[in-house]
Amino acid sequence: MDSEYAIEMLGITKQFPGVLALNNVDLRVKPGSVHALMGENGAGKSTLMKCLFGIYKENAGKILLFGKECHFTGSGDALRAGVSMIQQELANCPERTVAQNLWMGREPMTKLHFIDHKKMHDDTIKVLKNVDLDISPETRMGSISISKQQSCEIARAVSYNAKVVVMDEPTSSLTEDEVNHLFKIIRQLRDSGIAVIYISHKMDEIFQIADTVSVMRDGEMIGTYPITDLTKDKLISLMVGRDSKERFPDIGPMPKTNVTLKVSHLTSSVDRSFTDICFELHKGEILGIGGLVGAQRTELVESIFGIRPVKDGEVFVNGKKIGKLEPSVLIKNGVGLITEDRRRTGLFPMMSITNNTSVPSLGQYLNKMHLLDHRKIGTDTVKYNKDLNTKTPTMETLIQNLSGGNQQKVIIARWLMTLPDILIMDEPTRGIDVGAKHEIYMIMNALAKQGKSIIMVSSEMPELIGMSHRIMVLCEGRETGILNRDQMTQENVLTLAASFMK
Amino acid sequence: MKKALVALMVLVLAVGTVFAQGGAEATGKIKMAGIIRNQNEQFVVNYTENLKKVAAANNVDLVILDGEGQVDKQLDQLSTLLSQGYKYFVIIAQDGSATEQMAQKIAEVKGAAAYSNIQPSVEALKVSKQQYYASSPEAVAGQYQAVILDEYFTKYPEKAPGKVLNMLYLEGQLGHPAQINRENGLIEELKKLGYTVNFVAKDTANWRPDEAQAKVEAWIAAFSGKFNCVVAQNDDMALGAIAALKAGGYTKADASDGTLLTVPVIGVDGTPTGLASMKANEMYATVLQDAIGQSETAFYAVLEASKTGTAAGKTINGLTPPAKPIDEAPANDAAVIAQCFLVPFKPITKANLAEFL
Amino acid sequence: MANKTKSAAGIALKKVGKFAAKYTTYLTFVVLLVVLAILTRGGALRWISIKNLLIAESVRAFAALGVGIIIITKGIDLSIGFVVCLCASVAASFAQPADYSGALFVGKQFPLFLPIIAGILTGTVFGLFNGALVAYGKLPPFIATLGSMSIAKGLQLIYTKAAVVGSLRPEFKKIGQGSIGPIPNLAIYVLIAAILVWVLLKHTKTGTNFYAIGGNIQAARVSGIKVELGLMVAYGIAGLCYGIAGTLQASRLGLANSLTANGMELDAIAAVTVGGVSQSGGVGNVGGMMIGVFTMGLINYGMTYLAINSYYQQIVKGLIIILAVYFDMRKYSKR
Repeated sequence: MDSEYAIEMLGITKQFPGVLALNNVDLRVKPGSVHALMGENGAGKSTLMKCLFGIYKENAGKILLFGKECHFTGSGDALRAGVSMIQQELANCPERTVAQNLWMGREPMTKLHFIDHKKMHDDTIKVLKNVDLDISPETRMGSISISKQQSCEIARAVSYNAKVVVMDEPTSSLTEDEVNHLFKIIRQLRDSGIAVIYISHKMDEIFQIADTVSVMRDGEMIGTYPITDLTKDKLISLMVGRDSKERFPDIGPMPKTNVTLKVSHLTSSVDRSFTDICFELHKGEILGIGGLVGAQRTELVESIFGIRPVKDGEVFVNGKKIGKLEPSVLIKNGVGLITEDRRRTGLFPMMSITNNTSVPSLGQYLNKMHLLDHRKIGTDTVKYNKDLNTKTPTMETLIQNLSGGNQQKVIIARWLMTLPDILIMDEPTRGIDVGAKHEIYMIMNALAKQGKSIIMVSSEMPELIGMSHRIMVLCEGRETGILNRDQMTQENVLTLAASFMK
Repeated sequence: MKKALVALMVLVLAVGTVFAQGGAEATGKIKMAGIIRNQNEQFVVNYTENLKKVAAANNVDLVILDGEGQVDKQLDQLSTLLSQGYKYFVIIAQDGSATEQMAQKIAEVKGAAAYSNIQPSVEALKVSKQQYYASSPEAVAGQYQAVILDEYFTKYPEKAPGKVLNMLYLEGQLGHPAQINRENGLIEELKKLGYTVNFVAKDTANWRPDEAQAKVEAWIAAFSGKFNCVVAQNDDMALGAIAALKAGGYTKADASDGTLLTVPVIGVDGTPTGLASMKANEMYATVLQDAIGQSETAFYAVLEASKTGTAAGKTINGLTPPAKPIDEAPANDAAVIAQCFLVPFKPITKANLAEFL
Repeated sequence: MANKTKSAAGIALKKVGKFAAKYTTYLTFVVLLVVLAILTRGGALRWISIKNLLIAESVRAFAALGVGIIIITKGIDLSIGFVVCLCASVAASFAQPADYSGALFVGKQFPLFLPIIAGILTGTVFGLFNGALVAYGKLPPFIATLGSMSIAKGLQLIYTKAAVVGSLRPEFKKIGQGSIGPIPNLAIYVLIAAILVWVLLKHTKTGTNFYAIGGNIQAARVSGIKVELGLMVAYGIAGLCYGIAGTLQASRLGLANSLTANGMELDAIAAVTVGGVSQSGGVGNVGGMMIGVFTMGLINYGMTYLAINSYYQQIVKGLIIILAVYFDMRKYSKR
């Protein structure tokens, strides 16, 4: 007997040691619809999906696929049953070809049990057509853009006759054009009767693409609503459980102060990265850096900090020219960098909160015998983390066991402990939930008011406009303009961000 | 939780100490230990097996420990055994240089030891009158190899025109007394017999058949037809050489000269596989390093010391120490000659092969 | 009702499991000790046995301290065995008496400090060489040290002409064979070294940085740590440890040959792994390393004591290593 729903997850409960991760959660998704799953980080979205795919075993509840109870034992098993997952971080083999990736583990065979390359080639072209992708099946997966890789992944799902496709933050590394293309594909999938579960933090996208929205909070299902019944504010308040009218603190007017950081004519050693960047940062200022994906914002700030090589140009901190751009030198001169990719370049996952906080500032805590003063390190790490309201069971807890927002606070504490004058924050609120975002904004504002200068790289337009005294916009590695507070509109930023060279 | 752990450890130590008081046991039987350098070589295995047999026959408790080729391991094993109350040892050392330290440790508890196969140092024998040499002077093995070669080439002089031997020579582990002395014995005896020895190639294969095979394969490629005999310092390497020669086509249909190979191959040890190869007309001859004789002599020397205080100068297993020092260490020192029981090598050729099979 | 008791039991079991996971290292050691004490009827706990254990494991302890540091930086060192062998040979060659005809430098008597310095220096140079390959050459440590392993082996054979370097002078042998009162010198050296490494890892910036480098090399770089320099220092200190290990081994055995310390890399790596130094980098401490060394030592010792065939010893050792790594992985691979 067919059901009205493609997927029903009923009364799902999942208990982890000490935490009730999912509490009696119901989720029903209709075929031929895009169903958004929203919630702050830690609300239980990923856990719920992991239960669906059998990566976690739920403690209670059942899962129905078109009315039939099912138990998957992993994503491969689910895929064969027509339930597929497009991961945030793509899981493909970059050194293999597109065709090899598509048919991995189920290559078409000739009668003699050799791989039928001809059929594989033809089938690949056929399948790629579904997602409007026109590339050779023999292209190496790693050589095509992330968005095309994603399309391949979707094509792969479709080739399995997918009935349900789950997408986890699929647009996190896509340009606007690519996002539009993706949405087009998603609509095609929907129109062909596939149920799409769409997980995202980005409100705008949800209102563009979703038909239905389910909101989770603290491991519980708050409710499921047609998109037409919702507004952004209402959705946020459902997710956060409180009103969030005051999204950004009042950062006040642009301070009239001395220049603390001056960057002149900085050019990257890497081809097609940034060239000839000049700007000044004032004491107590928050300078936003905006731009589209590929604008080389991260490359710029990481080069200033000495992680990436530069060919030309100079950096002055408090009037002093920095001889060699190297992290240790910049730190000594009072500059700190909170990197974009917390996992890759921020966290020491298997080290404690204390050790994670103190790494760059250990030099300040040597006693007369040049040994570390652990007591002082202890009190200071506690103090800075307390100031930032980091929530952790103990200071000895491994940082990998904290939520994204708390990890970010530890990293901010890490840099505050180096007593910086200038703090560069690259995507400071990426991957953290709405509540924690607000806290980070408050911290940034407080730091600026204390006289610290902040550079904030951000891809989120409202954040950029709400939290910057000035915004520098980059496009393809060139500086296309600096906007003052009174010029800051989404249109102005976008115009500058998209002023490509002919 | 950590405290619980500490408490647990203390408890264990306490209980252990109580137990330890009553740990010693007395059965009245003599306890003997064999400290054997490894168990990978045929000679050593034969030696160990016979040792077990003799010990059982004489109602002696025997444990055997395998040194896995490591000097430090052997020393640690000795320490452990001494702490368990063992006093009597039969030893095949990994390295003769380590025997002095072993002898000192054993002398501390007034124990006794006999050393076979790997020669102990003179210093080790000087430590006490309860340290014995129960082995075979290595030069003799080389001398026998020379004699066997002479017999062969006297019968077939056309194979070595002008009494010139173009030899492929496989050595044991370099620096090993057996390696040095077997080579000296061979060369000197051949000179005495009027031969000119020309080493076409000479290298170590560390006593191992696989290494020997690889070496000889390379030599065949480089010196094809330029050699007329192959001599190895043990049977294992000789068998490796034979495998290479067979693969290289150095075979003939008729075995009237005693071998199916075109050149004679000679080893040392007389291991069962070596003897089987001789029976199959492959290896031409070998020299028996008498595992049985050495192990029995070592065992009885130590047993005698355990019963009467010393075996020096006595007749053990039919052997009496020579009256005068010989040329080869450690039996070259008058002070310890009474502690040296020289177990003879025996040449094995077609003529007497049947005795050993 | 039944369900409830089941889950209560489950939670209790989980708690025990968690405790066991956290203190695997110490528990393994204690359990082994208990088992051995029973099997040897207390023999394993007598002072003479403990002393033998200390002597037997001391050289390996130095190797373990060295490789422990390297593994903390997420490296590995396969060259230990042959580097220790080379160091032992170099040290021994300068410690032979002038009147020994088989000496490497016949007729020459060197001052006693020379073999010590030479041995330690050889190790340090090799350590720095490995460090340079890894830090500046960007070679994977596995490959870099595989290469230097072979180089060390070749150098040792060339230097000693593949012969035994033996008959060392009694003064030199005393360094490793002597004792102060009832305590063997070797145990004292290990204690001092362990304390020094503990200070290094726990109380200096240099040592703390090893954890950061091993924990996340990119993040370490962002945090202003000079990663290349740090790696050089780590491998250099490890080399220093190997140098000491080699010198002590030569002194203790009174000789060095081409088989000295063969396979010590595996013993040392296994010991620190059992001691909770994670192969994933950034985790480990000196206490664990030492417990690991003596755990493996206990196994060796107990099996010798019980005269268990060495073939079985290999199997038991292998199983213990696999178990240790299994728990290690379970402990750190969550998420």
